[in-house]
Amino acid sequence: MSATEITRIGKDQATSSTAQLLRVRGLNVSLGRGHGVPILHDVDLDVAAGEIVGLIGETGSGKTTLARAILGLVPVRSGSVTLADTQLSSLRENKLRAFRRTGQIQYVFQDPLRSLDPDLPVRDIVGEGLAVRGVSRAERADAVRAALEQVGLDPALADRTPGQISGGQRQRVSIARALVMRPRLLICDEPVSALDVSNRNHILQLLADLRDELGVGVIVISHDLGALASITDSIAVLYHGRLVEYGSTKDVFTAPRHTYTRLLIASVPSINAATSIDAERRRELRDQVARETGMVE
Amino acid sequence: MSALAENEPLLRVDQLRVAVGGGALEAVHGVSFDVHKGQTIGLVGESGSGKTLTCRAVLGVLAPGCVVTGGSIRFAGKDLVGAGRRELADIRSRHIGAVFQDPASYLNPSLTIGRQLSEVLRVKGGLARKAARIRAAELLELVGMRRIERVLGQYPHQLSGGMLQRALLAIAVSCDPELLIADEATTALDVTVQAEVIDLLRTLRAELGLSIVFVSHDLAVISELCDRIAVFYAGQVVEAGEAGQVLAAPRHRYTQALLDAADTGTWDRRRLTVIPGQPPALDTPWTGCAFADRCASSAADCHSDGIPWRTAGGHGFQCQHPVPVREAS
Amino acid sequence: MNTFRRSWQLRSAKISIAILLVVVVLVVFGHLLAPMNPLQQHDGQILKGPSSRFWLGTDYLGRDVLSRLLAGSALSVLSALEAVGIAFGLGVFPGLASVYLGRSFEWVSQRVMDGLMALPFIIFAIAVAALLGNGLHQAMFAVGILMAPGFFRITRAAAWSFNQAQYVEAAQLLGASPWRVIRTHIWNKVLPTVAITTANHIAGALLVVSSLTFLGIGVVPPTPTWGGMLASDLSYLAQQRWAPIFPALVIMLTVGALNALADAIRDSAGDSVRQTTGRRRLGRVQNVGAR
Repeated sequence: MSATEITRIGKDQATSSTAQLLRVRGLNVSLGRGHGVPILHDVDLDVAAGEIVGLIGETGSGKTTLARAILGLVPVRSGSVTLADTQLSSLRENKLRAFRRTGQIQYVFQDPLRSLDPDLPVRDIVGEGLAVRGVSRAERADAVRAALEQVGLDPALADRTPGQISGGQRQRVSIARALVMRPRLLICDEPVSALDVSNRNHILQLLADLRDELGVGVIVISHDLGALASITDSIAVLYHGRLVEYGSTKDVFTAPRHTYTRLLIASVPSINAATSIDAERRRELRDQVARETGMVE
Repeated sequence: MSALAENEPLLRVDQLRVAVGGGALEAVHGVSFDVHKGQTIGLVGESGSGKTLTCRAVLGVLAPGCVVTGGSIRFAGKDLVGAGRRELADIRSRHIGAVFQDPASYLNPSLTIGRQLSEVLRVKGGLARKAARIRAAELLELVGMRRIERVLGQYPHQLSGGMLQRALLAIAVSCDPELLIADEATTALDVTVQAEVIDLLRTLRAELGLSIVFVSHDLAVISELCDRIAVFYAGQVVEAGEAGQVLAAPRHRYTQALLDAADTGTWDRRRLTVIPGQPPALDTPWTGCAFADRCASSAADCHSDGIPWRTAGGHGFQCQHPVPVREAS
Repeated sequence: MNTFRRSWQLRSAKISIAILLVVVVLVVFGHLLAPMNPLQQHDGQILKGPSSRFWLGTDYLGRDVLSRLLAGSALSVLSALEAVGIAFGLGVFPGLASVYLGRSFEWVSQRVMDGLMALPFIIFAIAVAALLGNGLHQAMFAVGILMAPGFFRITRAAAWSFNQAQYVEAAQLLGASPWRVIRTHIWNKVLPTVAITTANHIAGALLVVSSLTFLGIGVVPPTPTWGGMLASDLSYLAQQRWAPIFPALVIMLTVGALNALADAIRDSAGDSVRQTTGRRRLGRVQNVGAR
């Protein structure tokens, strides 16, 4: 099978009854000068309101680029990104800025230390989106307090700067910055990769609660497959810029159809000796992936 | 290096105390563990629990402002804490290897991998230029690198994270060390690459008879690799023992909480559990058990000092109200 | 603003501020404090050393040095400030704008600044004086224009590097306009750097006034300025070795205080600047966590 003929498995209909939120169709993205290096090839992705989609794949597979393309941070070569009725991929400059001010899509960066201004107090960081929107100071203070409580932070932290709080707290601050905008879609790029297990669970469970209580649609990029299994509704697997598997979480993890997905699953470490990593099986899968996709490391 | 006496551990860390902030704040409060020849011990705990400080103390590379204030670190019978600078440097360079979370920052970006690897071999191993080059290729093969000739001529930025970690492992094992310290060596890697590095560490252990101190906050990774586990909490070892025993029948409430929070490996949807609260800050002293404030099973006597370290069959823990031993099923 | 608050706590900052306060007093009240007429030439008292009558001695025309220094402080300092103010305005704002106003503005502003840097200073000053007439303001205008590229480049470099930060991208994703990004995220980080440049350039401007006086541009003799006194006294070094000492000392103290203040600001800024521009080193972060 050649690289372009990777099986794409249609997502099953479990979520089709709920309201469609994000629709990505035939997305192609190239980065760099001139024609650029193709990063994403014909990617389709759907997120419904109240659905968490887990996006997995190795470094360089295009996960972050997909997120940034949805956000309008990288130019789209062809294809479309639609949120509800707004075609995002055609918005430019002022219209894009106006759309962003509505706060419908929010992004949580991987590294809160870099994505939070080190010189501003948490209050100003979380309230920034509202300030941009022109919300009054008093209303902002109330909203910031509510958002901090929502992510399980003491509102007294509002006076501190990012350098004065712990890593787990920082990531919760960056989620509070997103929540204060009342987003319909939340995109989290490796939100827990730098956190230890308790903080990781806290953040991921928070995302699950947002889905259940507020009907927020969420895309989570993570390489923590075990944790994704606990909270996501569907899983999309990217491999070298192509969506190679896409389906309900249960199906993808228990009956993976693409060899690369199998390789990913076989690579997950486990406390349970019965499911621990088997070097032999992994090597077989690895060679098989290389054969099927025509891609060698 | 003198031959080890029968039953003498390769590395014995005994009541190690490390203070930070110029010696003002104690962050590691009397940590003890042994590593025997060929054994792999996993140090697990939340960030800030003192795992990394302990490793750095063993390596003698504590950050400025951090000092060892008590206890001993004996490597093959020699005390590293009291050792002279030269002696220490010698032990470190020839007998202990180390890899860290961020391999790129331990390699020189302006030199090729081959150059850096053969430099180590020439300086530490005393090899001639040509011999070093050949040995470098052998080492890269040992760490499972493919297309070795090409990699030798490449610069660090041209390699992926997994390949860099392999290159760093090659440097770490280049002088046939007895002990390898891996501090969060797989944390930043992709899950497939992490699995490869775990494989590699298993192979190296088997082929070279390495002892490994493996630090991670991920219990699953630890359990893939380690014979023994030491659970760190707030600068203390709160439970230690055979990996299988600690994971299957943990006694300390903190270990139990960590296990509850870890993945089950069943791919089921479930509510993710959180350990409430935060570990005590360095500048707030506590009495009794440091975990008591976050523990659902704590009672008044958890807050008084003198909680004994109890052991049974090489499995030790320090908990006033331990998890009851389950009947063998 | 944390940077400035932190820098006040340094001893070097306190000392330099004390010195600068004295300079301010001299600027405001200097001409009133002068014990004699700064222009009066005392017969037979040429190039005398300090005495009970002339505390700091007399110059080559027999004028009281102390009186001239005091009377000249306002003109010296204010003209330096004027030049730097013009440079600040012409450098800092285009510098910020060049990062945000798109490619064409960036290209044009950079070429203009390159052109200014290539101009020979003295000739440009003479040309300006010829064009706009000879006067202090015209001269300072020329100096300001020539100093502008320094401000432009430093502001631009700082703003450009902070603009790469991820929190700027985060702000853009919230729909923040470039102007808002500059105001909330960039300006407070660029300011310490700009403050240092300002302090250094004020020092430079104090000296520049003297070289222009030497050419008869700007301040015309016999009006006293610090730089002018230094320049003229230097020519009498052979006759009186101490002659240039006092004007030199006054300039040195002022310049030194400004530089020390700039250093203090930079040292206190280091933290926040390093945190945002420095590549995150995991090893270090881990240590912080372990503490």
